[in-house]
Amino acid sequence: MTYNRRHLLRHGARAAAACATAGMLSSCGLFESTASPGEPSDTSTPDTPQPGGDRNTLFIYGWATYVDNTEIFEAFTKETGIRVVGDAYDSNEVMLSKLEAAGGRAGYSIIYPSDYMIEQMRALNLLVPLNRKLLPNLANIAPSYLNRPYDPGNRFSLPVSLGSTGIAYNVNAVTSIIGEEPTDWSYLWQHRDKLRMTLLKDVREVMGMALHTLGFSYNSENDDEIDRAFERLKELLPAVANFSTDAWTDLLRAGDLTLAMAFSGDGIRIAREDPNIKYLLPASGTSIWTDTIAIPKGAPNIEASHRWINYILRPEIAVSISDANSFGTTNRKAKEQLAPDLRAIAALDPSEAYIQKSQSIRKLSQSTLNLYETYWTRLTTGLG
Amino acid sequence: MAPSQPSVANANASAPWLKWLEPLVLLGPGAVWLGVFLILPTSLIFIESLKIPGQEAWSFGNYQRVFENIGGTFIYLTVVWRSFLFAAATTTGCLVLGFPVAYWFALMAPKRWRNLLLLLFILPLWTSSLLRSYSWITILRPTGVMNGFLNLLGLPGVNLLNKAEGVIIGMVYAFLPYMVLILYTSLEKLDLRLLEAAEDLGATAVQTFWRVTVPQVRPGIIAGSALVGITSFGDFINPEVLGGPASRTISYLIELQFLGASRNWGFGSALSLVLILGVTGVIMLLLKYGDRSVIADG
Repeated sequence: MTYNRRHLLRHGARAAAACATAGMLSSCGLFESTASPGEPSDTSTPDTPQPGGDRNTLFIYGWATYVDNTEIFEAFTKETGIRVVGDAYDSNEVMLSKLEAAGGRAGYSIIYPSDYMIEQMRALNLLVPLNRKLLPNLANIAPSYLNRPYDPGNRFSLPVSLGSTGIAYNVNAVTSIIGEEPTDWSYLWQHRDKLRMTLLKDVREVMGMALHTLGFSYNSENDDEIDRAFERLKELLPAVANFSTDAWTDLLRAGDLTLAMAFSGDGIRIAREDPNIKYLLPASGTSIWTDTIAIPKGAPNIEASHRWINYILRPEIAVSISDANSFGTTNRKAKEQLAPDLRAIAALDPSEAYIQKSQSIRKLSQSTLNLYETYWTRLTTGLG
Repeated sequence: MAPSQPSVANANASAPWLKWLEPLVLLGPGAVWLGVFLILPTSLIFIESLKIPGQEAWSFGNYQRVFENIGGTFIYLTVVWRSFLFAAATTTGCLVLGFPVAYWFALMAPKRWRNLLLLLFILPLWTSSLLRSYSWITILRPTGVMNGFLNLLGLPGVNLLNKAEGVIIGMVYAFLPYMVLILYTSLEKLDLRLLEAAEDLGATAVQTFWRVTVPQVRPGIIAGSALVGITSFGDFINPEVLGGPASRTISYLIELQFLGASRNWGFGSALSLVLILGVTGVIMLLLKYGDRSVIADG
């Protein structure tokens, strides 16, 4: 079996989430608190903190690659005496749903939302403002990543990782089937009769990509433009094996797929492991995004949360995080210290010129999101 | 504490309230369980399903949406219908594959081996259903085990992954043990004297099967089909892991409402209730036509 633990964990989490939504455990939001870290008073293990002793445990809710890095957890505990427990989610929406359902009692101290989710969570008043006095290491972040539109003045979040959306492809497969390697999104349409691909299971990324190739904005709110993007994606549908965020990796390596639309973390990770896989930033630009760190409302120990944030802003910790999740780092001191194989991948840290060509996904109005979702339902159920 | 039989009679004579104490003790825990884990959550789903984002008033608008026609297609109904077809195909597959196995286990296998054979048959259920579904990727993928085998035989390869066929194979595999177990309990009770009588009276094997065996195990067939049909109708893992766009089912639609970009919990709840009502319909048919004892055993 080549499926790694993270893979199964993610799908397990997704399946569990889905079971919950299918009504079997539909009340999980209601009963969640009994199983969630909100009550770390579990006395079954001797080293578990006693009730009221929340101060000594930090519950971190993040993408799998942020929370299975136990090395940095242990070092933090050694230094501060605060125990760290990680819990993983596989989409921003899963995280948001859980925090909303728990109504501020989920008990997490730290979350790692993507930039557009910060915008959404700010609007829902789900975040705790940061106290800069407790974050001296803030100076390590390159200023160009600060004060972005999703969080002006970085009141609620700090950028941690830099990511992009691109094309991961199997070099042997594309050269033998098509003869040339891709350079841009247009490749998908040009060779759609020969390609077998997956697209991300993410409505904004996929619709945004189609909008972008038509010369429109990733954040279009224009009905006509959105409709045209949908029609364009429909042309691609016969070549789309599936809409999947991370289940493509083994299929791509084996050549069952020729290419996959991928988040840079997954694309670069696979490219590091397998020389036959390349991760491409499409020439015409793409969606560029940031994973941030933030403190959710209801965090039991705000001071410990700040200690953690200050800790991960250290260069050596930023290097470790980048190595684990194959994302670029916002930490200017960490950039030179990255592992050589990671630094060799140009797509890890796109040039300023490329960032100019690219776009960021922004929060949209509910009515526009509903429109996106209707088209998305038609696409992902193959009903066109 | 349930009193012994004679004392019940005495108690009834002396204290009438004891008459309903006994059912209360026996049924109370079950009622609490059902109330907390079925009625309460279902009610919450129902309340949620009346909410529409951005609207104050409650309405049945979410239910109307299920019947919405978008771009010339009833997309939600089509997906519900697709889920139904998958469930029907899975049930048929399980029945066709499961009946001979259960028949052999119950009537032809050496008696002392029966329990062991049954145990072996349900052994796969001890592993996670997610893992079992994943392992089918290894078999069905274009460069997978199945095509390797077909190529070895000089046959052309087929691709069943990310297709409806793959999903149905995965579901038949996942639910076959349940079908076999239920059919087995039914076939075990088969009155063999009737089979002998049929033979004596000159019935052919085929006639005996259809006119003597099948009518006797009909309740088992119904119970097994209902169990497999219901479970596969709402299955999430197999369509998600083995399917593609054209094989998404109602469980995906529900997931999309809760965890998608528009996060329309109201519509998701309405779809969940459609699923629950559909399943309830099947169970009611089952209670009407099925063999209750078999359901209890299964």
